[in-house]
Formats: sequence, structure tokens, C-alpha cells
Amino acid sequence: MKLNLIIISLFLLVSIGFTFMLTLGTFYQSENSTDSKFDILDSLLAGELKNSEEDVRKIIQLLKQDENIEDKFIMTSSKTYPYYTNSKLIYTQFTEGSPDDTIEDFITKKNWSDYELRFSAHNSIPFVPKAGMQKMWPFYNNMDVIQTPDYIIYSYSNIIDDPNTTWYKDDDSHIIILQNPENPDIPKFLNSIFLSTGGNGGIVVYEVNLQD
Amino acid sequence: MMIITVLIYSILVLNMQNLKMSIIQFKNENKLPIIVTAIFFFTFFYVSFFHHLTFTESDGIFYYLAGKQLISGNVEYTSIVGAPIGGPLVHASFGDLLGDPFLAGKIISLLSCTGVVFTSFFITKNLFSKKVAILTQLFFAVNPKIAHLSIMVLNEAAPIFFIFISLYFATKKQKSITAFVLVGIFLGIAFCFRYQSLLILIAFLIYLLIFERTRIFGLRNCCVTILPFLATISPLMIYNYLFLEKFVTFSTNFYFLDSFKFQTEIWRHNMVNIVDEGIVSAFYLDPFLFLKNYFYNLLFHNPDHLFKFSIDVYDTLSIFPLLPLLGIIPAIGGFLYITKINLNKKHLSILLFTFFTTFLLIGLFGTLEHHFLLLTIVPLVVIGITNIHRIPNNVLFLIISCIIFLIFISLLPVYRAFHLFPIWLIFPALSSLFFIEGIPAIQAKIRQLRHFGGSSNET
Repeated sequence: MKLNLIIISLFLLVSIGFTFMLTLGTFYQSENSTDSKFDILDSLLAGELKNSEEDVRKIIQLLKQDENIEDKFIMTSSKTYPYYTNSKLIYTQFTEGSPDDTIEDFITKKNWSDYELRFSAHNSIPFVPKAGMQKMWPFYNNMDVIQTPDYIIYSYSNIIDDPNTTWYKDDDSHIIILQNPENPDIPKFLNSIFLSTGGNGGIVVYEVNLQD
Repeated sequence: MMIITVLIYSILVLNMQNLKMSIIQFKNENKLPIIVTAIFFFTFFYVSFFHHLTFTESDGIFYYLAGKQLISGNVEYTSIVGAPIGGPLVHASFGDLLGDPFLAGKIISLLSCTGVVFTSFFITKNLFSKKVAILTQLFFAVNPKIAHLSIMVLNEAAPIFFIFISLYFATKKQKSITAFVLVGIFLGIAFCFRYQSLLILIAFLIYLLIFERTRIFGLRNCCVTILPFLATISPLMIYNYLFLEKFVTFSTNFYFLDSFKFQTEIWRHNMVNIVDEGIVSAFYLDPFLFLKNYFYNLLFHNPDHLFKFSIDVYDTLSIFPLLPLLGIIPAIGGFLYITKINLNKKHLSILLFTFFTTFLLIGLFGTLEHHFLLLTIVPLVVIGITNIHRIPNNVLFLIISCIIFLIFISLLPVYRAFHLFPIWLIFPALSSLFFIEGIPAIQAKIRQLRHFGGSSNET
């Protein structure tokens, strides 16, 4: 058999396998994840795969139970929830503010830098007028309006990023306690209404009652 | 009147028959690439429409909402960082037409990536044999990143498709005026989605000016490419100028701030204040830091997305994604094959000299950790230049595109491997050439040497 055919077949088969795994991993996750890269394959063979979009759909259904959801503000990094619920988004990367901030400081954007405020405003829904249009639309300063969220949807991942990534990393240690709603340091005005862990991360939804 | 009607009807019927014949002939001549494309399409149609049921792509939602604002006339509310308005407008218009933006986005992505897979065959066929073209197409069809783009609603697949159409015309051996016009038009369309296509245009013009200058008369072909390009992008330029007071919205300083690896507190603080300004202000803020980042991007970060230099990461375009670095071997093999290098004393001394000189320069001015790629690139470039007359012109254009694209795009660290798709084709194409023609040639050479050795022993 020709050597080049063997090599070509090897390259193609590896790519097909890799593509299958990557596609599978995009939409499914294993219930009980380990550090193994092949745990998703193990779960597939064991029939224990969970659709990654399942939690998102559950949260959307949960939010839709709020009759006034269209007037509510959700603080999160994903645009999916406001898109499906017609609610408003306060965009956050959960790295803003100072590492010494309390959760309340974070929510009220107390120590967010101008750049963080602006970045959030650019990505929030409804949109605010853009930076280049300050001269023409002076109400650009809308971004400074501090809106308290009604919900916080905090998703996290334990997967270590590409070690070569050049992304500037801000400290998110002041927010990390949100991963565990049982943490005694979680303030009283946050009421956990949804928790899902699994795979290599999790997602927690809090209702915010800051007025109380 | 009757005669005219009959005449028109006859012409139409004849044209229809010609068209039908052409389609049948095309199908018969290109069965394999059509089958590969069809399998790709139906596979990812199934994944996209039966497994991806929730619109989770924040980028897709953002572009749709931005487009909706634009269509509603609320231009002041539409802030799109680093991208033109073409993508948002297409997503919003098609989304509203179907009444489902998610469905529209999925269709755009799937059709665009299917188009990329399909055109990859014809571009490679312009360069090499049909066998090499079909293997290149297979590498596209099984590539995990093409798969990813075809099922996710992002603003990336459509511009790549339009760039690929332009590459098809740009790599034609005999280019008519129409081909130059179409290169300009399709790059212009791609530009309205993503600005990166401008780099392919620059590469094409440089190629025309240097390597096809005998065929151009008074820069005719350059103009024939540029003018349709400008005409295509003119509505975008007018919009940008009227509403943003500038022709293009590269937002480079925003990306520098967000993505540069090497930053200092002072630099970051000052950068925030000039985030709306251009690249020159960013450079003068700290030229040394800027250049440090640039060369890191050029020689490590961006090529890293082509052939991951570490094993433990997924985001790569390598044709061997399990051990991505392995993918560099057939690409280099293909390059050496096409330059028809004979490892004689002259070539060996050139290779060794450039290798050690580069090594010395890295030792003096850089770090081996981040600039080691130069040790491979510089000898290859030198070999390429010394044998440039042996490289077919259209292959040369793709190599030039690759170099120009990386030189410009490396102002920024690309954060996803698929951003390098506009220049990726040359790598699977050279790899396929190595597999199809290079390996048998090496085997034949080895057999010849063995035979020669055996004959010598016998005597």
C-alpha cells in the first residue's frame, strides 16, 4: 500500500475525530467531569451526556415567569437572556471594579473605571449612543447612569485558558464567591434562584433585592 | 413583432440549453468536490438544526440587534467596535425577513462555510493538480474550525467566503479584465463585513506590481481591481464619514488595550485616554512596548494559531489538530517541493548561514522563547527568494498574501484561530502537494539511491 495514502488517511481521520469531539463538546458536556480530555467521549459511550444549552433554556423559562421581566435589568456577560426575555442587559465581565470591592460595590459599579463603565455601556442592551458621536449626540453620557440589576446571572468555567493568551486579565477574586450560593459571605440581598454545576463550570442565578 | 418574440424566445431557449449543458458538464467534471461539499453541508446542517437550538452566541445577538437599530434609523445607538455595518445589516435584514434571526444566522454561517469548502477545491485547482485540489478540499471539510464557524452564528463565515471567491479569480493563471473586476468586487463585499479583506487586496496589488508588471500597462490591472473595490465599499465609506466622521472604524487602540500581552499600569492608564484615537498615538505612547507586542504577535502569538507550539490547546488551524505542530512538516515539505530545492553545497551553506545568523540576532535582540519561529522562517524565505523563479505565480500570490496579512494583522493578537482563514489555504494546499507528489518523489529518490548503492556494491 502506498505510504502517502496511509499518511493522508491518518491525517484525515485524526481531523474527523477531533472535529467530532469539538462539535460534541460545543453542545454537550459530561455530567461528572474529570480533568480528562476524553471524559466527554466516556460520557457519550456511557449515555450520560448533558446538553450545554439545557441550563440556558431553564433559566430563560425561570426568568419568563417574572411578569415584569421586560422592564427588568439582568447583569450578566451573555446577551442570550435579554434576547429571549426582552429584558435589559447590564453587561459585565465580572472582572470590573477593585479587588477589595464588596458584592454591593460591584453591583453599584462603585469603583468601576471609566473604561469599564464605557465597555459595559457599549455592550449593554438597550444600546447607548456611541463614543464617536459625543459631539452630535451629547446624551452619550447615559453610560454614567447607574442602574441596579434585578437579576445576576453568573457563569464560570474552571477550564484553564490557553496559556499563551494575551488577554489582559483583571482580578475577579472579589466576585468569585458568587460561585457558591451557600457561601456565608454572600450578602442577604442576593437570593439564589438557580444553580447548576457540572462539566467544568457552573451557572448561578441570583435575584437582587437591594432596596430591602 | 412576432419575429422579434420568436427570436427572443429562440435565444432564451438556446441560452437555457447552453446553460443546462454547462451545468451537466460541470457536474460530470467535478463530481468528487460536489460530493465532498454536499456531505459537509448535510453533516453540519444536521448539527446546526438538530443540536444547536438556543441562540447562545452573544456576538450573533449583538450584530443582529445592531443591524436592527441601523435599519430603524437609530444610527447613534449603534456602536460596533472594529467592524463595519455590512454584517449587522445582513443579519438583521435576513433575520427580520425570516422572522427568526437565529435561523437566519445559522443559514448564513452554514451556506458561507459550505461555499468556502466548495471554492477551496477550485482555488487549489488553479494552483496544482486535481488530486491535490481534492485533498485540500478534504482538509477544509474536516477542519474543526470550519465546522465551528458553520454551526455558530458569528460575523466571520460570510467575509471568509467572499474572500475565497476573490482568491479564486486572483489565482487564475490567465486573468481577464473581468477577473480583476471580480477580485475587487468580492474583496469589497468582504470588506463590508470585516476589514481584513483589505490586507488581501494590498497583497494582490503588491503581487501585481512586482510579479505581473510585464502584463500590466500603466498600472491598468491595479486600477481595474481597485476601482470596483472602491465602488463596492463606497456606501460604507459614505455612511462612516457621515455618521462617524471617519472612513473606517478599525478601533485599533481599543484592541491594543484589550489584547496586548505586554502592558504596564502607566501604559494602560494612558491608553484608556486615547482609546478612540488611531494607531500612531498608540505607537508613540510607548514605542518600545508597542514593538515588543508587535513582534510577539508576529512571531509567536499569531503563528501559534496556525500550528500551536504547545500541545495542550485546541484553538488551531493545523491539519493535524491532535498534535498541531506536526501540521507544519507537510506544509514545509510542500514548500521545499515547489521550490525544487536540491540539497547541494550552495543551498546547505545558505541554510546554515541564515540559521546561525538568525540565531545570533535573536540572542542579541530577542528571546528564543518568543522568536524561535524566525529560525525556521528566515532560512525558508531565503530559499524561497533564491528559487523564486521556480514557484508558480499564483502560488507566489498566496505566499505573499500570507506574509502581508501576517505583517499587518500582527499589530493585534488574533484571539481566535479562524481569523487566519483568509490566508490558510496555502498551508493545506502545500501539505496536499507534499502528500500527493512530494512523498512519492522522495520514495522514488530513495529507491534510486538504493539502486545506485546496490549497483556500486556489485561493481
